[in-house]
Amino acid sequence: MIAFDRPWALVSLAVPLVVMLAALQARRAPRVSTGTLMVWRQVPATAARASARRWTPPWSLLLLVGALCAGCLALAGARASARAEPRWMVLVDRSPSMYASSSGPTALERALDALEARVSLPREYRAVSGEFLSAAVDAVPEDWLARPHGDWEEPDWQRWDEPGVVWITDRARGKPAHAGLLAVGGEDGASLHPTGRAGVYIDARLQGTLFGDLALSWCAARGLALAASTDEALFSLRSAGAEPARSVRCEQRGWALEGHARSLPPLHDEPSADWLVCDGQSVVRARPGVVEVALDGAPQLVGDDLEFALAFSRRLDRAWVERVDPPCSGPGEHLSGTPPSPHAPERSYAPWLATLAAAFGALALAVRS
Amino acid sequence: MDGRLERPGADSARVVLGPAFCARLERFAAIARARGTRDDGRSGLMPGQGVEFEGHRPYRDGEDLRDLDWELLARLGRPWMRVRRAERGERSLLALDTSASMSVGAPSKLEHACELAAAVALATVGSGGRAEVVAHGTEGRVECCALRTRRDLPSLLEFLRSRIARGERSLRELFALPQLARASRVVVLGDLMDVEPAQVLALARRGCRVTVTAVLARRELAPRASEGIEWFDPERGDTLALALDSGVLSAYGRALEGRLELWRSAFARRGQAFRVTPSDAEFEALALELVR
Repeated sequence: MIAFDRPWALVSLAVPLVVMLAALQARRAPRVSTGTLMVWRQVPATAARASARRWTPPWSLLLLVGALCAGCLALAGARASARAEPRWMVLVDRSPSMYASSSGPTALERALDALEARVSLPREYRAVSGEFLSAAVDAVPEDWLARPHGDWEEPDWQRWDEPGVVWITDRARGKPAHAGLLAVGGEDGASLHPTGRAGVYIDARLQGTLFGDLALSWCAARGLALAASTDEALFSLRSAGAEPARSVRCEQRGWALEGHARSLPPLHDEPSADWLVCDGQSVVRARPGVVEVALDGAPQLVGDDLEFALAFSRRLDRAWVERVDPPCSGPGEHLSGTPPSPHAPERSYAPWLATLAAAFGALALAVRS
Repeated sequence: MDGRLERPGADSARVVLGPAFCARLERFAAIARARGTRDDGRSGLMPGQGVEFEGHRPYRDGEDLRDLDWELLARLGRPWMRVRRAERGERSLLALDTSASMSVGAPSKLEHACELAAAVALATVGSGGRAEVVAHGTEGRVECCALRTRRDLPSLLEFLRSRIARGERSLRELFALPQLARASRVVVLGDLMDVEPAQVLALARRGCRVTVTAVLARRELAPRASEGIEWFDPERGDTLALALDSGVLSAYGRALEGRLELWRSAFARRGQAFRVTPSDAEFEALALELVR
């Protein structure tokens, strides 16, 4: 399908039309009355047939008209447009953090649901890894909802910062200038989330400990920023509990944790869930937006440390999600951007048409001379 | 076919016969009277196929042998034709073709035919005769206008001016008029494309001379070469697109000349006069020939 940047310029197509009509009119055989038509009909058929050959336009005229037409189309900014219907181009970040989930839907699923609720126009989904556009589809395929195999690089966002594009990501660097953004978390969460708060606060007492280090890795994997205080944070990892600490051992499937634990005060108003209970005493407790750790110093991890890390990450994910969902459909959700504009693979024909017009014009002059 | 070049302008179905023509007609009437006055003092007698013997002239191929002077042939060994003079009181009838094809030319063939008709009628009256012009009217009915004296000239001119070249009005309808039986001379003016020589020659009988003048437009007599032209028949609406190169023009010339030659030879055999004139020719010379 052909679209035009300056459709009003198509009026100029009247020029070659007029030129052609004028040439045809000038060449048209004049109608002349005669009373001797019966004599003309006696002219031998061979002579008449040979002389009645139809007039064919000269090459110079055809080339001139072709040059004018091509020039007019170039002036109108002809370009190929696969679709005339406006549609969003949704750029989907399929990095591993987009598939983070505790027990509910993943960040990607929540983002897609939010997009569905907010955007009614047709969409085209593109999955981008680094510079590589892996796929472009009209609907999100099922396999996109599962974590992709192999490495996945962060897209070059600025390359896709165009009107009519929506980014779905949890790690976009800065707000796009032209594209829309449906962000789920990310280092720019403070500027994206309506609350104005973002990031994760990690208690200074936990930094350098097993839990603190794991939380830092989790933040990095999720693209979450660190906050300096709990007031600025949406999520906090705190060291809690009252003295005295006592020695505890927590046995879990595949791993065990030994150390000294303080006692966590009971919570009356807020729902909470104990994650790690040692000897009948909760030592790691989570509630929406907050994970409290009552283990002192450097607890000793015994057994499958990877399983422990994954279990703790899932607990952090769940606490994060519970903090911000509801009311938001996803952590740090934010949708912004310019109104949808037709976005389709486009290719401008104007340079080609201009070249063609010049070539035809030159040929017309050459033929005429 | 020498004469003025065809004047530029569109074909016209109407007849003008303007003041300039009227002035020329007056001069023509004077010339015709002067030509009609013989050196022997007899006046008012115009040459023609009357009953008064005037002299001899050489025989032309195809002429009617009834006027051949056999005695002269026997004595001189060469054929001579008797020439008779029209008598005072000759009754001329002029049949005017007003079909649509007469609108062709600039001036139109009808305009020139009307000029000739007026001139011949005036010369006939000047010689003591009487002329009647018959033609189709605007409604398609055959109408007649008689010229008995010069005072009738305005009405004749008005009659001629009211002629319009229109439709497929055939000259054959005029040949059936009862006036023809009383006429001593029948002058037919038209392009003759819808009649055949025999149909006109049927009018010729003892004492009645038939003179036919084919009035053709310059473009019909001598079309010019053209890359392309669409001929249009105003009577039937037929068209024919042609490129007029030398081959086509010569073929057309041969076809037209062949048709005209049919008329010439047929009329010559019967001792009648047939002439061809372009519509842009001066009327005076031909009119004098027609009344001779």
